Amino acid sequence: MFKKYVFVCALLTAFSFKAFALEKEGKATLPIKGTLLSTVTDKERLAARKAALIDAWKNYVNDANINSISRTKAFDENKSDIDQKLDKCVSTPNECEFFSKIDFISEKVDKDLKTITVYLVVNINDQRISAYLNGKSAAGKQESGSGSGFAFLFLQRNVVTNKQSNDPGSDTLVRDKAKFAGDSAGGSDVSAKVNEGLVQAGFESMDFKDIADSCNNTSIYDEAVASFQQEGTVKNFADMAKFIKSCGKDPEININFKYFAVAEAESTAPVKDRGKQVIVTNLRIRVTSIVKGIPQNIANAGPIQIAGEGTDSITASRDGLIKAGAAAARLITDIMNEKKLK
Amino acid sequence: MKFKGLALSFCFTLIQVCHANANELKEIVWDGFAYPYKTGQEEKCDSNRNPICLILESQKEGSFQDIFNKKIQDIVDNKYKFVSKLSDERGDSLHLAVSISLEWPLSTSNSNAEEESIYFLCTTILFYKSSETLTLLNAQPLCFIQGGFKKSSGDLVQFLNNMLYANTAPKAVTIEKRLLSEISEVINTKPTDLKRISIRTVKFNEDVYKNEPEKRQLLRSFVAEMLTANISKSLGKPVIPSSLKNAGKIELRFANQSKNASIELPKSSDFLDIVIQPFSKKTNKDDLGYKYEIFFAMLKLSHQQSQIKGGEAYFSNVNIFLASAPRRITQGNESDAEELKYINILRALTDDVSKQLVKPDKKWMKDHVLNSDSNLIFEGFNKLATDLTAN
Repeated sequence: MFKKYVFVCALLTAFSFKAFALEKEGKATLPIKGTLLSTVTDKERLAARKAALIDAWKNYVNDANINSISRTKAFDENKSDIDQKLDKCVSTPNECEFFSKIDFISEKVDKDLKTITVYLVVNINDQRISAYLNGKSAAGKQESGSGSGFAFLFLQRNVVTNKQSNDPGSDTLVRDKAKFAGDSAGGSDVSAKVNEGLVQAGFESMDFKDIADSCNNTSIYDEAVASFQQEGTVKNFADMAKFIKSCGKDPEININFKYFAVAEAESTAPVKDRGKQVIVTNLRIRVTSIVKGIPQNIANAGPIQIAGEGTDSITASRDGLIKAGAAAARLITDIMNEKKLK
Repeated sequence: MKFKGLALSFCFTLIQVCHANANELKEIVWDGFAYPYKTGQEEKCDSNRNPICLILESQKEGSFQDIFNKKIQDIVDNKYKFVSKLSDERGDSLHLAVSISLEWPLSTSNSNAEEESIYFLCTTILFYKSSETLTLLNAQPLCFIQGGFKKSSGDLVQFLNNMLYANTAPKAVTIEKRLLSEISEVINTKPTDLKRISIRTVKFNEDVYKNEPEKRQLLRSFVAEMLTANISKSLGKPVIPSSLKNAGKIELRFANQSKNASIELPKSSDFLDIVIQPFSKKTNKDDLGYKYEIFFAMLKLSHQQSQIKGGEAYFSNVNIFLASAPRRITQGNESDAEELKYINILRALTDDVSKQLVKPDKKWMKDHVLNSDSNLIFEGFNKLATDLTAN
C-alpha cells in the first residue's frame, strides 16, 4: 500500500515537473567584424549570446499557454528593467534572476559569411517572473494600514456648588478641585470611546497620557491637567504638540502624528430629575494639525451639552463621560471628514 | 503503645515535611482566558467578532473555563503551583493568563452550499509579575488551525468545544492539551530567555482587501501573530508578543472584569516592520491542455534596532515571496475558495521567513528574495540571526 502511494507521489511529482520545467530555445545570428588577431571579438560574442537569450525570452513571453495578454503587456511596460536583467544573465549567469539554467548548446562562427550563430536552451523561472511582475505592480501603490497618527487628550472637571466658600445664602457656582477623566471611574471608557471612533475612521489613535507614559514624560501631562484644573484651558499646547511629534519618532511608538485634539469637558453638579441623578457636561473640542510640529488650528467645536443619568451621582457621572467620549469622537471624525483630512 | 506513639510522631513529621514542601512552592495566580481587545473596541466580548467568547464567558460547572481551571491547578511542578487566589496577598505576585489574539474562520468553498470553514485561532500564554505595574516575564504565542466546521450542519459552540477540549480520542491534540504542556514550559523558562524582537508595524499595499477594512484588521493580526509564533518556534525561545500600536502594552480583558489588566511589555531590541503585498495567481496550461494554478504571497520586510542598541537597520524593504505548488484545476476543485489558498500560502511564507530570520539560507534567499541585492540582504539577515541566537 505504502509502495503504491510512493509510486503515485513520484509519478505526480514527475508529471508536475514535466508540466512546468519551462524550457525555451533561443537562436541568434549576428554579423562580425573581428580583428587582426581573431575572427570574433568578446564583445561580438556577448552580443550574440544576448540576442539568443532575448529570442528565448520572446518565445517565453509569446507562449499563450503560459502568459496572458495582460502579462505580455506588463512585460512591455517593464521592458528597460527586464533588458538590464537579461544583460546580467549574459555577463554573470550565476546572478541571473529569470533563468534558473542557461545551456549554451553551440556557437558557430562562419568565416565566409562573417557571422556568429548562438544556440541556447534556458530554464525559465516562471514563479520568480510572476513574483517580479507582482512586485512591480505593488511598488507603484500606496502602503496603508497604520493611518495618520492622531493624538488626543480628554480633560474633564466637575463644577460643584460650594456654599462654604461663598457668601451665606449665595448659590453661585464656583469651581471646586477638578476631577479629571484619567482619575475618574469613567476615564478608561472615555479613552476607549474616543479611540474606537478614531480607529473606525481610519486613524492611528493614541491617548496623550499613553504617549507621555511611553516617552517617560508624565510631567507634561500633569502640567496640562493642572492648567485645565486651575484656569479652565490648556496652556502648554504648543509644547505638547512638539513633544507628540518627537515621541512618535521613538522606535517603540513609530507613529507619524499628524493631528492633535483636545477635548475639554466641564460637568455640572448633579441635580435630581424624576428620581434620577442628572449631570450635564459641556464639551469643547479643538482639533489641530501638527504636521510641522507647530499646532495649526483646523477647527473648534462646541460647546455642546450632554446629559448623563443614573440612580446615583457616580453612575450619572460615568454615563455622562461615556456619552461625552462618544460625542468627542464623533465631532472629531465629522470635522476630519468635512475637511477631507486623512 | 510506644510503637503507636512513634508511628504517630513519624506521620506528624511526614505531614509537616509535606506541608513545608507545599509551602515552598511559589503560587501563580491563574487569571483565566482573556478575550481579544484592542484599544478602541468596546469593553465587552463581542461574540460576532470572536465566537470563542460564547465559550469563555461561561463560568458554569463543566464549562471549558471550569474544566481548565481544575486542570491547570493539577499541574505538578517542582517550583510552582497554580491557584485561583493567593494565600498571602502581600508583596509581588506571579500571574498567568492566556489571551486569544486571533480568530478567523475562512470558508473552503466559493459556493454557498456547504460553507465548510477552516478555523484559525492564535493564543498567547502570558506569564507576568504584579508589583507596582504588571510586567511580562515570559510569553508563548501559539497558533492553531482546525478544519471541518460546517455552518449548515453544525453548531459553532460544539465545534469550538471539540477544538478546545471535548475531543476525547486519546491521541487528539486538543488546544487544551497543547496549552497545558506549553504552560508548564513557560513558567520554567528563564525570563532572560525572552528574545526581544517584536513585530512593530504591519501595513498593507492598497490593493490588499481593498474596501474590506474588517478583513484587513484580521489579516494584520494574522500576519503579526503567525510571524511571532513562528519566530518563537524557529528560535525555540519565547519572543515579545506583538502589541501593534498599543504602545508596548497588552490589554487583557476577562469575563471577570475585575481582572482586567494592562501588561507592560519589555522593551524590544529589534523591530520588524511588515508590508503585506497583494496576493496573485497565475494559471498555466500544459501540452495536454490541462490547466494549473499557482498562488503567490509576498511580504516586504524591514528591520531596525532599538535606539539604545544603535538604531541600525540590517535590511530594509526586502520583498520575499512564496509560490504554491502548481495545482491542476478539475471540475471537483474549481469552486474551492481562492482566499483560503492565499491565506495558506501566506501562512507558509511566515513560517519560511521566520526560519530565514533565525538561520538564513543563501540559496533559499536567492530564490525567494525579489530584490536584486540578495547577497547583501543575506548578510543583513545573518547579522540579525547572530544577534538573536546569541545567549
